Amino acid sequence: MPEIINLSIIGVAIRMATPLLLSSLGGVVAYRAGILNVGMEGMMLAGAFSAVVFSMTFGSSTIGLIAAGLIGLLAAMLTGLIYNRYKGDVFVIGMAINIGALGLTNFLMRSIFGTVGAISGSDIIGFPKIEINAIKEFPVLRDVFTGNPILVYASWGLVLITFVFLNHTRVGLNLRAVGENPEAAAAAGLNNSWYRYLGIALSGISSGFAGAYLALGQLSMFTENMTAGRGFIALAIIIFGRGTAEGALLGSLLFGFAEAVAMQLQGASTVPPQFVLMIPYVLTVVALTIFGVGRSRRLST
Amino acid sequence: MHNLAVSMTDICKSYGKFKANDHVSLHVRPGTIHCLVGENGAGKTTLMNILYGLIQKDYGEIKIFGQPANVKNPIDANGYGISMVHQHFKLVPSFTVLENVILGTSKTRGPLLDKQTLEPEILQLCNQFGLEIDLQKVTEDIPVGSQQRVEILKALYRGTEILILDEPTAVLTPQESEQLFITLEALAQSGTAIIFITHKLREVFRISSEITVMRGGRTVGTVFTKDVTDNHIVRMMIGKSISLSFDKKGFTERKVVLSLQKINLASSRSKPILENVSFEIAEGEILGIAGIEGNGQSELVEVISGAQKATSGKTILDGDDVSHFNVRERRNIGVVHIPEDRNKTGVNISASLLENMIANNYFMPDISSYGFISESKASSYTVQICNTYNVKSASVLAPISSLSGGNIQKAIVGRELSMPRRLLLASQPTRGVDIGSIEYIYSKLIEYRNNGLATLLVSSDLAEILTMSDRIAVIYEGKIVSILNAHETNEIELGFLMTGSKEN
Repeated sequence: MPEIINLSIIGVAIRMATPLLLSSLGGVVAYRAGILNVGMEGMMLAGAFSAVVFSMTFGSSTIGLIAAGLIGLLAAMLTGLIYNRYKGDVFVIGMAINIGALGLTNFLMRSIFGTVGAISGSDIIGFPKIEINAIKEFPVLRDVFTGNPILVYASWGLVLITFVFLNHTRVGLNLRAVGENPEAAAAAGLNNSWYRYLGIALSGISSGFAGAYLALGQLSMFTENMTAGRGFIALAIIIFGRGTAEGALLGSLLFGFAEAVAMQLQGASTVPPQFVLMIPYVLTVVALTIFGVGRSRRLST
Repeated sequence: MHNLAVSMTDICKSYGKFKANDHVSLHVRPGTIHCLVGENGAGKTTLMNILYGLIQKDYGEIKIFGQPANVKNPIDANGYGISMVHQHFKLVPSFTVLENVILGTSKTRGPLLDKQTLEPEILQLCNQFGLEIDLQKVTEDIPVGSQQRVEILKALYRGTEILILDEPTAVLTPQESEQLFITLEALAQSGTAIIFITHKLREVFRISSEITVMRGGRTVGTVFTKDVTDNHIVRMMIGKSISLSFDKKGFTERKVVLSLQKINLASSRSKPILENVSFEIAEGEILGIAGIEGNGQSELVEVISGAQKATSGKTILDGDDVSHFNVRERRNIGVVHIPEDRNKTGVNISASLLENMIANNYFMPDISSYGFISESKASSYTVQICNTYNVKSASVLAPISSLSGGNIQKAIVGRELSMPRRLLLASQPTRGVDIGSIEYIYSKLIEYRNNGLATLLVSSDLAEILTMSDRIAVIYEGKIVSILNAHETNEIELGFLMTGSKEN
């Protein structure tokens, strides 16, 4: 299949990896503060929907992006409130957000736009694509570094920012202490709730941005359940990457690549498309299994 | 400078009817090491938790350096210059020592961690007080003794003036303890007031200048260490207690039921939990295990019941080596067990009385057939236990949590003694039980003893040990330091042995 899988797959992989990277980076921060944000899928979906609606209404993709970030933040603060104040179970809150976002976006799509399945149209303004003419002659560079929305480049910068934040700032140190040993953090005089709010808020905003990228990054449309489990893959990436920024980058690229392969193989008639579409999800299970085995070995020694 | 660093007067704290602290007073001068001693449940930890803001007093007054203090939480306590080193350290395992020390402080400007600037100051503290720690090591990789030094260093870095240590030597080797004492002496020299909670009298006399003794939620008194002997302190700790007496049948010829041979149990920490424990229990004999809690009693019982495997050594029951038997196999040959924690391991607190009573025999033909539990058989079995052991419950199907502590305990005793039995392991059988139930449980234990049952009785209540036992083994730091005949010893002697003041 050399005519199907070629160098351009790298570019596709990077574009597929971007929403995963955005949401998992925020998720990593929440995870290190002690909260596994199960609601990322729903926050992403709500983000995608708001991005489309606001982009259409105001004719600006930037306003769409801001709206997506805010809706993610709103869902995150709800999660934080229930978890911190009312001692709710993060898993249950997260699932409620996921199911709620799916139902709400479908309902609003029908009641506002009167359509079923998708919102599309030329009045949805997508993100502008950054073109760098100087590298258009070089095959791999061209695929990777040009023709992407600015969020793709921003996500790479975020890897570095997250890394520095977690490992080299006072707030990052405190946040990790809260996540790893809340009693020790409290004994050191930290306000544990505050750091949990911070972690989950950053996760909500980044998941909202990831949703905006899905909706406005390539096709400028919203479709029913368009996240299609990416929030859960982001969860897997957080665990797979052991809660580090560099791990999130590696995991996102791996899963992005799997999605790119799946997309390209759909064109090949020899493989049934159902099997091809399974690739990223099978990879999730395999990656988590390998991680799990590795960890239980480490624990048993 | 005020002449008192801490002044706690008339402190009261009750939990329901139970008075954990009953008009307790404690006065600590700066620059001294003040030991707070007493048996388990004497109220020492409650008093310290009040001082550190972990719990709130009902009544009384606290003054810190002469100023009335209102300590609502540990953050307030830190504000008053009070730090506490808990038995369970409050450290983040994956952090380096340095990160743990600076956590929550802000001595540098800006959002970035400037470890280079902070390090010299911390190193200087280490040198000044003889704390040997590598600041770059990851905390979970260093030994327990070093982790404790990290806790002390944390307190020093925050400018502590009053340092509380809750049984700090419990997890240390003798060498590590000595190193700790040297650090504490240097700290006291520099003016810090140190409150040191311990059971070990040797340590009290090694480091303290004053001693406050507590018993049963009250202060017995405060004395200067140089004015007293360990004899005084033991008497103050133990006090007088009323003893019950029972008719114990004498046996002429008795077969050995349980024989432990050099049982060792290693731990992940440097100190083993059990070290070369050997003893025998014969038919119709109650062997009491006396010791301050946490010296290996719980683990000893687990090793004999089969819940935990010994690292080495043999468990012989009626002449057969059962070292490799699991709990069920041991139960089948007659090991019955009254666990120390009634609500955790004694019963399933969310199940019914009936379900709890058949927990150890539901699979036997008297209760079930073809894998189905017969409700009528289970019910009549439960009723029989309730009648024989005087358990009062509204119905056999009532949740066991609706019963009083005494009735739950009698139910457990009944459940265990209704099984085929050769050896009874009774851990704290009367803890938190009303007087009536205590007498009843005692009478049952004696009755079964007179019928030939071998019993291992573990209790932190010395009066109970002395009343019930035929022989008494004293356990200290995982070792049996002495085995005595119950009628040839007394609380004072046991108190010495239990606190490690005298070996053999």
